[in-house]
Amino acid sequence: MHNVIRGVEPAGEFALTPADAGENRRAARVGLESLFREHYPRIVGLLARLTGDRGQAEEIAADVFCKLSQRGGSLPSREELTPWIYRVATNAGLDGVRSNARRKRREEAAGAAQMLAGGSPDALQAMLREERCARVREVLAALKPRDAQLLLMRADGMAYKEVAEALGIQPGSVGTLLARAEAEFERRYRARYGDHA
Amino acid sequence: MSECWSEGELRAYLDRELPAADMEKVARHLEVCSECGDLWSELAGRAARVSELMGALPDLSEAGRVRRMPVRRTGMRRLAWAAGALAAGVALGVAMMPKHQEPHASVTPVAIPAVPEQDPIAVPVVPNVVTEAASAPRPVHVRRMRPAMTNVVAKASSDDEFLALDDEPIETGVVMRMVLGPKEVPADVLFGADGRPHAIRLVNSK
Repeated sequence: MHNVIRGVEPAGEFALTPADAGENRRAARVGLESLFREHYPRIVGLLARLTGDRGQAEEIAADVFCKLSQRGGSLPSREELTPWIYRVATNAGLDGVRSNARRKRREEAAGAAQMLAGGSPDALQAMLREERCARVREVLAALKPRDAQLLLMRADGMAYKEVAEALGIQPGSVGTLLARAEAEFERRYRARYGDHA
Repeated sequence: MSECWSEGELRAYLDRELPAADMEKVARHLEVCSECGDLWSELAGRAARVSELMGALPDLSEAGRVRRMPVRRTGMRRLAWAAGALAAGVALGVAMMPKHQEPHASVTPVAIPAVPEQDPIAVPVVPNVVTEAASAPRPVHVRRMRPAMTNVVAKASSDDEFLALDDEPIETGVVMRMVLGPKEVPADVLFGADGRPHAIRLVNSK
């Protein structure tokens, strides 16, 4: 009888304050801060390149970390969290690109009209650069999110090992996925805008 | 002929992301395998084109900003300059702060009595400062001084003539008798309405 009683543990879900709840929370907070310090600047850089708007990039990245911090319970491992953060942030950035595209088109039309009304050659060059950026963003937004992520990460100069960590894949498969992403990007770009070369 | 390499490995070779030993093996293989050579050329050409297109997207990260930022005086640097100028002004003010201070309307030499030790930074309260303009309506002659003449001030001596310390017009001001420098040279300093010294006149104490 004595052994039976000693062997019974209170069910965790009925405990008002689990013994290790405070410790878990503290560990989760420390882990989250470490993740934030390590990845926030890079995520903002990737999103800024993708959206062309640093303010929007900071807003998206902050929102992702905010969501993460509000999640109850213990957080998954660092190896699982890192790809989740990059994936959610990139998806939000791609959504932003899609919703920005219509507004950008209107702005470009207005800019073109202004230039035709007597703008300078510099204005023409700037407009052409903007047009090219808009095209690249539209094609990125049409790709699979992981392909867009890969291309953005490489454009940002991330090494294969960093790309693998951010995507949650093996470093040995980065080359294969990158080659496919580039092929798909080029195919779609040519289909939309002809031979850019 | 050695074994052919996969597309992914050749792509990694392009980015020099293969282990050093494999980098050498691929290089040797590409010299003898036309099939891999063709694939490598295709991958390299596509990577270059895609990279060029992706490069059109501006780098808006902090590091990119720093790289692109032209050398110029930013707001913070202007602020630092302003702070420096303010500090210089305060230093000048402290240097010219009297160890003791007596309101004096006359320009005649006065004996400066020894005073007990006093905090040199604390501004003494002088309730009845007599301005020269108020007590003596005679005009104060101010001679403009070029910056290069600053060191001449110690040698200049005149009964009525002030040396201007800047180019600002002096409309009203307070003349204060004080001693300057470690040698405690007595002088009259004309402070403007903004509280800054605008002109100085050495007093011949002999």
